[in-house]
Amino acid sequence: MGSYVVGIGVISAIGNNVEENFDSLVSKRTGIGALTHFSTSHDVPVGQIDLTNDELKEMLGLPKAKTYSRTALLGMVAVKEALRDAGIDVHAGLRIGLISSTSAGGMDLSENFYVEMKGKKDGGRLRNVVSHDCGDSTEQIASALGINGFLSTISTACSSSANALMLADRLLNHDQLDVVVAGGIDPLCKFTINGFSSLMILDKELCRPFDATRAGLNLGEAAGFVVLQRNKPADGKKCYCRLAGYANANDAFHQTATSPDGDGPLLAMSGALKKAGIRPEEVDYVNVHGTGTGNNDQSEGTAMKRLFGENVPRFSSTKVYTGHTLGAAGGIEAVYSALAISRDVIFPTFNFKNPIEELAMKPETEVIRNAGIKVVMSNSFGFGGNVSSLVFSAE
Amino acid sequence: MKCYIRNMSAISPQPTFATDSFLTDVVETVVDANCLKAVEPDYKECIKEAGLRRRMSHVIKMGVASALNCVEGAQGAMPDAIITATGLGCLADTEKFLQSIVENDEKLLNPTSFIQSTFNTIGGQIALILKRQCYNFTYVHRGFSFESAVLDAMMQLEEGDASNVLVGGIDEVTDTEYRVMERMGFWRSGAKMGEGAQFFMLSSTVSSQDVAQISGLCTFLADTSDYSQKVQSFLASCGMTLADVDLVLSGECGDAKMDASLLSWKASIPANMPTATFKHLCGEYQTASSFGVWCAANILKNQMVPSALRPVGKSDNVRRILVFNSYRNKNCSLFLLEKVE
Repeated sequence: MGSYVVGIGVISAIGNNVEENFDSLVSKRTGIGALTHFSTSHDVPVGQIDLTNDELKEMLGLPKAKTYSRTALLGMVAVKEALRDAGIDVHAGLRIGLISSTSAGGMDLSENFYVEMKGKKDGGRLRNVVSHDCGDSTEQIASALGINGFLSTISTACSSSANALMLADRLLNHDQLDVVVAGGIDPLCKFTINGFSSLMILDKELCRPFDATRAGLNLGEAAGFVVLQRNKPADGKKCYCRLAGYANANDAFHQTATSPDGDGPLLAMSGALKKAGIRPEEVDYVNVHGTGTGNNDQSEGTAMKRLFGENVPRFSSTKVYTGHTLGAAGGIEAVYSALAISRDVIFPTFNFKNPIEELAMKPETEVIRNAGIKVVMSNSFGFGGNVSSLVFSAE
Repeated sequence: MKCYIRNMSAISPQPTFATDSFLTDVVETVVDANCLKAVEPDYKECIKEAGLRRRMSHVIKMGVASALNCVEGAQGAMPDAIITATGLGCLADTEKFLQSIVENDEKLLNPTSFIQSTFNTIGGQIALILKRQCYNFTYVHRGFSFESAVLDAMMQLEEGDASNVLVGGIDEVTDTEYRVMERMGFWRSGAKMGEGAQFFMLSSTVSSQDVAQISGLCTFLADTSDYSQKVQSFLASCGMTLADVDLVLSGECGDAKMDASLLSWKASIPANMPTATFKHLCGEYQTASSFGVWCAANILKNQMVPSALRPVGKSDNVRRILVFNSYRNKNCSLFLLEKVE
């Protein structure tokens, strides 16, 4: 445990790279808006990345005629940025692994294939279904960027990419690899929009995490990756922070809902601190899961109260900027956590107004600079009871 | 890194579930020559809660029943971590939800199939039924899924955070997948699709009733040119050479193109090396290597290679088995299993 974050990469509704994301975060500029890339009958705002697949291919120097899932394309953008940021030469003989994660896999293409193939023997283009599985995007990214070590893909719903970072650190500890790129990706697609709509947890307006008036989440698309290495980088080399601790648990309460008293989230958060050897009062900022659903925020808030007592640290949900990016959430929020520590800043949940009565918790609503951020906790909770918490610390 | 298989369970296209016999009554005739469907147990016996069972799709039932059976026979060991592996997850639920989107024009959809379509559904259900709030992971990387799960489990056991880890590989065949694979010409030269759910209780300490020991595993992409070198360095990392291996159990699917890397390696090993194969019994799927490991462990426990596994060469006193699996000539994996002495 305790590997170092030496590179970061992100693409989301608030920017195509780290600097654009940072700029939006400190300018209180949301990426939530209209969906234009495909049509759906659901009138809900989303966190869409405005670049089309063709534009992404052009950006990456890929042949336009070749079919890639949006998952693979977004992942390539973020992984490429992270590797470059870390100054990693993939040909230098290092054992470089890629641990990715996604909840939708290549669904952005296969959902169209499925419509075309219905009732027709030869309906649908096969090139739209070969990337359906989650491993495809990981292999496409590895092949495009020359990563030739251990590859794996995790899918534990909305906690997926936090788990990718956990596995990455453990692989480094076991000396299975020298460098690991870890994170996650999810594209917007009809499947997930309809899925979350059928659960009636999509807000028709901008989501309001931890607000008494919250009415659900906004879906978003993104890819976020970090480059981890086991040894502390030499002086002068880039280093954002350390992945000091983490824990994964299962709420074992319900297939989709989190327990009202936050048992699972508490296990994840307290387990992560224990592993990091950090006391609750040392946490300077929590990047909460904070989706804006009635269930999540109530459960997460309750767990935070149980862990921190009356001294809940400063916290915020960055989902008001990006939407809930599902399998990518833990990845992009790891990037934001790294920025919070290295640039000493808290990104606000700028639209918060009314505290949930029984919790009386208030996320930060203004950008706070020089906040003395040394320890950041990042939470990711998902379907299937999967709950994960990461703790980052200044070197 | 090594671990012990405390218990295991398999629901496969063969009568492998809750039986002491080891591939003696192989199902030769199948409904469709290109597709091997699992021989399913009476799920009422395995998943007691009727309401819960009714909501479960085929793949969830297979996975949960196999997992619970594995835990039940694990000499009282309860899992400190639950790790599932699946290539395509709950595919039928995914297709069902897609179909409802199309048919109902995105209106008034029932969320059940969406909820159950997530890849971690089986892992979540197992935790829910066993009431285990422990570490819970789901790997979804093609022919590296089950391998990632076992590697994770072995690291957990070595880290000491867990004493017993429940690991399983689960995949199902659906009609849509069948049609897609048919159009891709996947089995042109005799490959079959398959499905199954194999679970293993892996432990850090040895016990007299253990089935076998897993002494190591590795994964690599088939574009590696020198497979002999890969095998050699893997065995060396386990402190062995090929001469120490008593049996090679391989997972060729029957399609020469898809088996190219595996077959080229097999052509390079000494002619007197005893071999056997397993995929003609379980069919090809992303987590089929879990069936291979189940077979290898059973060979070590029963000290016999059933004729159904098509053994070539004499192999008595089998102490070490090298399992070589390949998926679509892309994902290759090696497992070394040893007899518990």
